[in-house]
Amino acid sequence: MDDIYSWPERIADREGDYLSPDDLQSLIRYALSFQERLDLYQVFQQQELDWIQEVLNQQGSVDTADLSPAQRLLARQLALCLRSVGLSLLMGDPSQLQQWSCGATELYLGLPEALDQLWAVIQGSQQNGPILTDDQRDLLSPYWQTLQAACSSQAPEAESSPPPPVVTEVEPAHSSPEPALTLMEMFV
Amino acid sequence: MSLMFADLLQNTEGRYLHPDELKSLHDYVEGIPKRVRIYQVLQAKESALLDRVIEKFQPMLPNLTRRHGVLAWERCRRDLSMVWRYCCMAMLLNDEDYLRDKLLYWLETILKSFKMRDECKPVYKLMLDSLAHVFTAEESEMIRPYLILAKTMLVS
Amino acid sequence: MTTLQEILQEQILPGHCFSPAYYIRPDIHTGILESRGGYRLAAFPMPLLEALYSGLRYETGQAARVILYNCGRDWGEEFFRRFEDELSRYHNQPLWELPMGILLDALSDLWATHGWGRLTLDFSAGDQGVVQARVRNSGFALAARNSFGPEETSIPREPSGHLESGVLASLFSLLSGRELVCVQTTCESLGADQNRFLIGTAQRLHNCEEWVRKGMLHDEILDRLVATPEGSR
Repeated sequence: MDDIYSWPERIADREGDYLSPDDLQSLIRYALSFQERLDLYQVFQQQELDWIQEVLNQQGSVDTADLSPAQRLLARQLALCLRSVGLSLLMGDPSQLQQWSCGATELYLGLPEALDQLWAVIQGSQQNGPILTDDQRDLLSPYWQTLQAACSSQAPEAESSPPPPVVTEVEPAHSSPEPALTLMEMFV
Repeated sequence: MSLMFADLLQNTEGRYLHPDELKSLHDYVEGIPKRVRIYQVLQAKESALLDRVIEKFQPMLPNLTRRHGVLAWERCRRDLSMVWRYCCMAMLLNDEDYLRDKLLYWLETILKSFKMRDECKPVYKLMLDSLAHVFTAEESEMIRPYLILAKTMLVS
Repeated sequence: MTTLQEILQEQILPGHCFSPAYYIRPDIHTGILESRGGYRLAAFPMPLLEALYSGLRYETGQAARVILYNCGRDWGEEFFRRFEDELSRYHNQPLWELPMGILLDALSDLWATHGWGRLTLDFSAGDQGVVQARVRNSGFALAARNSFGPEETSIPREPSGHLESGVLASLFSLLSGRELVCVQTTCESLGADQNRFLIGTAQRLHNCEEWVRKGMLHDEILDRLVATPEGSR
């Protein structure tokens, strides 16, 4: 597994001094693995649509020509995750992913679970075999785990009920017969 | 890692990098192994460089310890070592802004307020002139722009 | 109709507008700290806030809470304008058309990015005209706690998030289009695990301040509010 840590932090730690031989070695390893990272980044770019499509399909019958507002939001968030992981991988720096936070809406949309599904899809459960090589998967894995850990660390906050307006406005088609009040109606 | 990474991060939020951005990132990263190698030499020969610089600098300021105390030369060497290390890091990162933001803005103010600019002036020239005696041409050329930047901001 | 392909082809996918890495833009050359939308920000040390609290208390006594609440209200109006401008520009959509969940999460992010603590909003009593806000790790409450000198131990303590109450009242007034007030029921400066606020119309929250002063717990106050139908006070 590739060593994964934040460059800005390492460099900040050594300010006014020299980087340690270990740091220099991993900098070289990063540089030498760049082509691999670039290849993987381009796989992300090419596969993004298929992968997200597959996750949405796994969640039930989906009319991809006419997504519901909630599906649209989820798809967008998944793509955003892929792009963030891709960039972190390319830069060899996970700090952006550690900063990721999952809001109540993302929890309500089921983003953490969808990320698990996406990870399974990326690892190649499709009939035409794995898309990534073992090396690519090993390279990617720590970054993906960092994102998932950052996402699920938000979970305790989820005990608070998701705000009802989220339900009505995000997914009008599936809302309960009595729609929740909008903010304006609440204070009549 | 460097300003380039920070800029990329800022400017590419929510999208894939464009081919030209990928190209410049690639070029940057390709240069890393050579920079690491040179960085290691610059580190290993810091003492040799500073020995030479101090040796030539001391006769220029015969009254230094009388005016600034017995530790004056020790402090002078410590400060030069600090400047050198920041220059080395900036070279490694290929990022002049690192040097400016982390050290030079601050040190410039200090030198001005203690009115040390004139006294320190020759030492940066000495450092630049000594490069060729301690390092190969390639190594010297890699670090020179950063030393020139330090000289320009601190004592020019 | 929006296809998946169309969504992913969007040039830039909006994520978290207020995540610190993208939102706060320092410039060491000019000494200016700006937000994503170009609004000037300034970080100031906690002791300054502590000094403002204790100074106000010393100079104005009991009036300090009203002054702070009103400052919070004024601040909230400007804050809302910035929030609306930056969030709608980021999502390329008017604020009112954004899914409410995105809007509320953004508000919570914005709080956290400024170091004011983690804001959580709870609409479970929304049908009764009350929104609950909770803030964990509030910098304002911390400063309030530290602002009391040892000689002030005899002063009766009450929740001290007057600035936050004011800003929340303003924000929700502007979001809902109705004049609302905010009452704080628990406070980290008094040892509570988080700061709880109730937001509603002045008529609805009429007795709340009194109940808080009498030492009623948050849940008791909420139960009472919920049990009292609108207008039958």
